[in-house]
Amino acid sequence: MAVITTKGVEKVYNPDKIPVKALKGVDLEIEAGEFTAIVGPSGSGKTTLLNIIGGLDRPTAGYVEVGGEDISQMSDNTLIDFRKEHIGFVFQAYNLIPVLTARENVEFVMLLQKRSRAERHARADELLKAVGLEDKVDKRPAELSGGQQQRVAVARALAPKPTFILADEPTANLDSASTANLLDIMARLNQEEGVTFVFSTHDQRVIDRARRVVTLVDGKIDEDHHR
Amino acid sequence: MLFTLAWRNIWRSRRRTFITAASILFAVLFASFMDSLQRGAWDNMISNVVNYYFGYVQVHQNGYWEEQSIDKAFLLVDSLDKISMVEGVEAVLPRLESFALAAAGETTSGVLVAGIQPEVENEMTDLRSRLVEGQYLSEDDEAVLVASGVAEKLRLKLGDTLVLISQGYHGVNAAGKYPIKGIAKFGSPDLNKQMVYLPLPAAQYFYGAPGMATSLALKLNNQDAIVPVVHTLRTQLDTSVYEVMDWEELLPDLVQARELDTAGNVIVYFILYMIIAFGIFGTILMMSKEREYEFGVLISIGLQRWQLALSVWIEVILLGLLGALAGILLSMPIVYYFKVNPIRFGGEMASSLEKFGFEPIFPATFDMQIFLTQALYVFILTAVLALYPIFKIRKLQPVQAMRG
Amino acid sequence: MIPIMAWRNVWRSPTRSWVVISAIALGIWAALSLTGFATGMMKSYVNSAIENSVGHLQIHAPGFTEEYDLKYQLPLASALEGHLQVLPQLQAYSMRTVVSGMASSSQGARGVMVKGVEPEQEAAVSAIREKLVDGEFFPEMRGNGVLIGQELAKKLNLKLRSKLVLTFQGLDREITAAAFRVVGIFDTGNTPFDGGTVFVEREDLNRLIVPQTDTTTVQAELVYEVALLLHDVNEVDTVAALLQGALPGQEVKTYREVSPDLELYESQIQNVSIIYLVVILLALVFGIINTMLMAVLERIKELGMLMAIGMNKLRVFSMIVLETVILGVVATPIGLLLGYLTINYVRENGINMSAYSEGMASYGLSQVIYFDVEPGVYVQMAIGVFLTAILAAIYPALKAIRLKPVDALHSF
Repeated sequence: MAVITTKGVEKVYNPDKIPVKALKGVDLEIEAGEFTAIVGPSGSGKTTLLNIIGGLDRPTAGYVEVGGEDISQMSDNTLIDFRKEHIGFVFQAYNLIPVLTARENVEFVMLLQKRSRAERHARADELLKAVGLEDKVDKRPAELSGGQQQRVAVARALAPKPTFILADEPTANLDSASTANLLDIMARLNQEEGVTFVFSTHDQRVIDRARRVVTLVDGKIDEDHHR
Repeated sequence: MLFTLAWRNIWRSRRRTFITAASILFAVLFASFMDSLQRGAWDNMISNVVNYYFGYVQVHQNGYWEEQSIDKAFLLVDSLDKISMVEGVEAVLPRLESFALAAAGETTSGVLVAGIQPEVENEMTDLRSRLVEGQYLSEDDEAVLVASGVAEKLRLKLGDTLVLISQGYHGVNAAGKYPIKGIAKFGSPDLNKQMVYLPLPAAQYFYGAPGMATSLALKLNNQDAIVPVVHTLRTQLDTSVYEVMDWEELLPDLVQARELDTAGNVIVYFILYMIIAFGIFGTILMMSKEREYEFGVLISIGLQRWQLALSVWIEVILLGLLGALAGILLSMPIVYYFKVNPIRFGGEMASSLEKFGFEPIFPATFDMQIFLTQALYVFILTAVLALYPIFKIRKLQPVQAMRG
Repeated sequence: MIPIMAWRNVWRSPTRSWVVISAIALGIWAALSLTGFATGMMKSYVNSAIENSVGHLQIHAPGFTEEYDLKYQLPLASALEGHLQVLPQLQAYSMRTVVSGMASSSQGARGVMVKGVEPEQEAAVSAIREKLVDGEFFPEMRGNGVLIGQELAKKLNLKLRSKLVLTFQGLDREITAAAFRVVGIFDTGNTPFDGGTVFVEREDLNRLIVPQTDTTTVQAELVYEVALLLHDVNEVDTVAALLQGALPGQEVKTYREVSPDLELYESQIQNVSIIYLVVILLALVFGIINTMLMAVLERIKELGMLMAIGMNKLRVFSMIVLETVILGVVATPIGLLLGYLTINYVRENGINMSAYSEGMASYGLSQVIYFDVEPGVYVQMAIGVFLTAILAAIYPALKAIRLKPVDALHSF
């Protein structure tokens, strides 16, 4: 079953002045349980595509379905709630809320979903354990290393049991050891729990571990490798 | 170069510049407006009592002003004519003044009876134009001109008879009956409720003091002439016989009350600027913090610390003056409007103000000095606050700053 | 969670937050102190008026106070006494005969109000006895003693035991003059009062205003003004109503009605404190807006992330407002406490304004001002700050929710 379907997605910036076509008709299907990397040089439209899939931006033409719902026509507020329920985000930086502890960060979205305190607590502990941070639950982001912060971000993204997790260059700021560690955790979650991951990256080590690699060039899909 | 750097830096965060400048604008606007109004109220009051009655300088027999006794009246001798020759003196107004009990029909009231030379008096005080009813006095009249407050209190109309009872020169009994020839209205509530004018000869007869006066009020070219005229008169006149007083000496309570009121307002402005200062300091704090990296770069590429500090200092002061200038430009038309269209009070507020001697009309005073004072305050304020980034820059370690 | 985040966000830049908090606290302190000063000045003015002779309540015959015409008499003194003595709220009363006249000495003449009083009664109602700087309060002597103010003494060059002639109209409207001897000189600190009021014994004054040919008027029963002092000034309206009922057709006035400027003063104080507060709060608004705006702008990416992971606009908005309110909530008790301490200190010790004594005295103000504020002012300040914080938060908060997460993040 496809969790993400895009059909003829186009995106034009500056339609009034000097139009820039960032996406020129992208058709893409991502099935549940995939571990997919979206790669491409700067200016290939990679960022735009991820924004659109994540419901942070709207296509100029075409449509996007996430979990069977068309998100391209949703209102801003509906989109916010939709993202909260269905999409987990891991950004390359500014991932965590600096004033909250690791556990509070993981609990945050569940709190917005009005889950009970006990449930939030149990799930946060469980997820932090899953990313190997059971001894750091009460630390604030500033007290964690870059790799640890990204693992908290993964735990937080998983908290609301989203349809898929969208990760933007999650290893861009990490050293080799942390990168390997984070990828191990993501791969394990993918294999054991069946979590769908879609991530963008430049990093060859990350690309090597992806089971599907979609390459964008000039706003179009150039290659689509399944391994 | 440094100036250009400072100027362009101001416009880097337009929003912050606007908000900071707006806070200064608000303070300058409020302070200049209040100051102009307050100054206006006092100027109006002083001009009401000084221009329209007391005059800027008076000459009496020694000790008269302290006691205000008719016994201290003096003969209008020819030697006093030289007063009118003094440079800056336009006119000399001899007066014979004393308190009397005025009675009309069934009521009585204490009044100040002033014997005047009608034509000379008019030259300074413009008394004729204050008439609301009847006619102005002439030198040989045996009639009175009363202030409208007196007329109201004694329920007098034009042509009614006013009985005056008092004590004359050296204790002689003074009593007389006079028809009312005119009624005048004064801006000063104090004057309006107690003035009764008689022509000088009639007053001299009434008080039994022929050829005498209690005071000479002087009309001057302008206010700046006060000091030289007082000085000249004190050397020319025999100071063992005569006293020469300027209006501030004549009316010390007025001067003090004005000072008191001004002091009160200065405290309010001070507090206002203190609060604004905190806001500006907050801006400076943020600016220095977010520019730390840039400061590091500038020092690394060879800008001297003092040059950088100077540029930042200029920047902060420019920001302050920008706000002050905007405040002044905005307050000028407002103050001017209230100068032309004075604020008028009515009802109880008016009667209360009158009780305190204020005409219930507050015209604003338009004086560049008021605005410049505010600009000066802002300049001093920002110049002091701008020491903070200078201090920061002095201790800045470029390498650390650039590491972020 | 949002309150916790807001609280912790405030303390991410402690210096910046403390600058704003100090500014707000300073503003509250200043507004309180200014109000305390104005209220103290007003109370000093009102109290000195009450003490000098107005009392809490006055009774006159209708029309009397307009021109002091002696034909407007109050009921007989003995009848009045009967009505007054039954009032438990009453602390003291003074029956007076009041005439408007002229005081003259060999030095000149002045218009004055002559108050004929019974020494014991007057001493219980007004503070004139305590304000004597020379002489005695109506010592035992044969007839015609007068108490004058220092100002009048100066103007008419009078000393203790000097002779003073009072001239006024009698009941028959004939002008009467009589010689009095100065037995005491008072200084109330209110120049117009000291220069324009003299006290004599009612007995003497009544004897002078009743013509010798008049044999029907009982001098001792002649009263024109009763000044009353209550145990509690707050009962003034109640007692006024009671007296009005007991004395229909007479004019019963509270001190506010006797001197309408007193009432105006009291009501102005309210306005003055609100004006101070508004001006100060307006000045604070700019600093708060600027700080909060910085706080929002430097967190653009963080706020973008919050919105990306599902925090809606209302929540972001309330978080920013809450952060601002926290600044106010921390500052308010500090400012109120500082203000309270200042007011309490000056309430006890007073501020000496003797540098301006003549200016103050000419407006009937005493030289030493004791701060005072109504308790409600504290609440007024707290509410004012709260509203200001919310008002100042609106712009930065709107700025925050107008951010588009995709623009804010710039990270994909």
